[in-house]
Amino acid sequence: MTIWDVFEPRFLAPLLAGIALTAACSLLSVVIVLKRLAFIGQGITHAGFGGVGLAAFLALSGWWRDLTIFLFCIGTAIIIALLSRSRKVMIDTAIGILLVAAMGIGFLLDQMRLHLRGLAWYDALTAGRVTPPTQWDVVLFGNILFLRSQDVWLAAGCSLLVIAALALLYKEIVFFAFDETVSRVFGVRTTLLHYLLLIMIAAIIVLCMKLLGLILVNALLIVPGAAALLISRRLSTVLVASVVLGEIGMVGGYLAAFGVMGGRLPVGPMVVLILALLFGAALVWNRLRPSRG
Amino acid sequence: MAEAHCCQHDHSAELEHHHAGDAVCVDRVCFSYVPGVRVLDDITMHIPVGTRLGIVGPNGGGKSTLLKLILGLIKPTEGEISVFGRTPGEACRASMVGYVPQRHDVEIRFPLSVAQVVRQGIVGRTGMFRHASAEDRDAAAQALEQVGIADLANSPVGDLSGGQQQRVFLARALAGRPRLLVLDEPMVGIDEVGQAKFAQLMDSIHRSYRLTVLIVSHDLRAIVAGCDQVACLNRRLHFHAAPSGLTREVLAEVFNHNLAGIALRDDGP
Repeated sequence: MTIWDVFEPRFLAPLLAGIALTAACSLLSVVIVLKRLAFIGQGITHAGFGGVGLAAFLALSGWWRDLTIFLFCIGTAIIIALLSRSRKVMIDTAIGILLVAAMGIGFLLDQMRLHLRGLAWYDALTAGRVTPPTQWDVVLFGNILFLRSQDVWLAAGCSLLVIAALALLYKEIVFFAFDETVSRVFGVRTTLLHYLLLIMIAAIIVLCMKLLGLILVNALLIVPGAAALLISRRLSTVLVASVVLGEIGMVGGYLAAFGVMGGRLPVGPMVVLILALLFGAALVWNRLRPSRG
Repeated sequence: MAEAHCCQHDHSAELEHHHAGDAVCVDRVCFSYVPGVRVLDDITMHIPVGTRLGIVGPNGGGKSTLLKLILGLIKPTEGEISVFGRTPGEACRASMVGYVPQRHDVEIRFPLSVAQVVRQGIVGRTGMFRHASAEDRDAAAQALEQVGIADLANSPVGDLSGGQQQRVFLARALAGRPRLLVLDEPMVGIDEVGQAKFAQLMDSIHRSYRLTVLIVSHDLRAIVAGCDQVACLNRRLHFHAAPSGLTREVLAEVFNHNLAGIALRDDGP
């Protein structure tokens, strides 16, 4: 394969999905960095492993599998949100525990199904469906060839929804991120925003999973915003810079994956690597600039 | 404790306690974070419309807790609170309350200009999914003018000094055209010149906006200078009257209470 193969429909479609998702991720990443939700994002992505395991256990595929993973992520996000309101547990402790528990459940469920096949109640539960063994490397790092054409539409639609929600609630979300308690006194519905943000993060994670994998999604949810914040201190500029940087990472990574070593390298790690380099460049730029920032 | 729970969700009962001429009514309020340990014990006080009340007391005496209750951020374990005849939460959502938080260090990275922060004050008035009205935007610009930092409107808020940031937060609170202004430890981290200037500013604001003002501070001087009434709080309300009546005995009672507690704990095994 060469870099020009990108223009084949089966390779172009995932790229378009990636571009749409990256726009949503990049905008979301500014909020995630400013509101310090990065670790919660980690918690939700790892919940995805639990979802993958549960879907495998129930022998689900296609939309049902995606929905199961999404619901598992949402469930975990809600538990994290509830725990973060309690005074008994520190939030990072709670996430640390949920994160490993979800991964543990995922792997266990995936293994258990192999031993349960043939038992009457299990076959009744799965209605006799048999799904191929879970490819954990694909779950971890993604594989664009697993992207269906419907996925592209879904990705584009959800990205638009996320961008629209961020635009419509712009002033509330910025205030919420700046100072949650004070924003509540000034009439911002903070609980609603908190859950809405978590749901958007969970949805984006599930959609990005096939493209980048569960681990690497985090890069898109953190790096563009973090790098953009090093470049400017004007919010409108930060948002634009974040999207530009995110897209450079996505498109650049995609092309590099096709261009280097005959296209045998996966896209996800390539995207993440370029994003990391961009962050490094932003850091250097921030240091070298005469005015402090 | 048993009677406490019956009133908690009964809003109509809550509002009956409200006197027409009062901005804030606190009626037999108790609060515990941990069951059995009362941070506030049987607090009753009324803040008449237009007065400036200062609440002083030692650290850990329940000042911040009382403030959170009046702002509707937490609910009393017992008793009732009303703000202009509404529940605190309703009053806040109706932009009746302006709040100047304790000036923690603003995240220096946060990419907001002074004008953007001040305009946060009208978010509640504007409502979700809407653009701010011209009237509200004017009010925000006017508030910025009033606190004397209009020339800094486009600076990143993280670049400002402590005293300037305090003014930004004051302008934000005024932008929503509130009827009650609540300030939490406004003098912390500001030098004496800055404090005097801030007191002057508060004076002129009180005159031009005819607001009810509630200031919480552990610094007695800050309170006595600019308030019509003082309340001393150390778990219980020890005093509530004009500052001229504040005697050495009252202060000793309020502030030593806590010291005694610390000494006792140190004596333990």
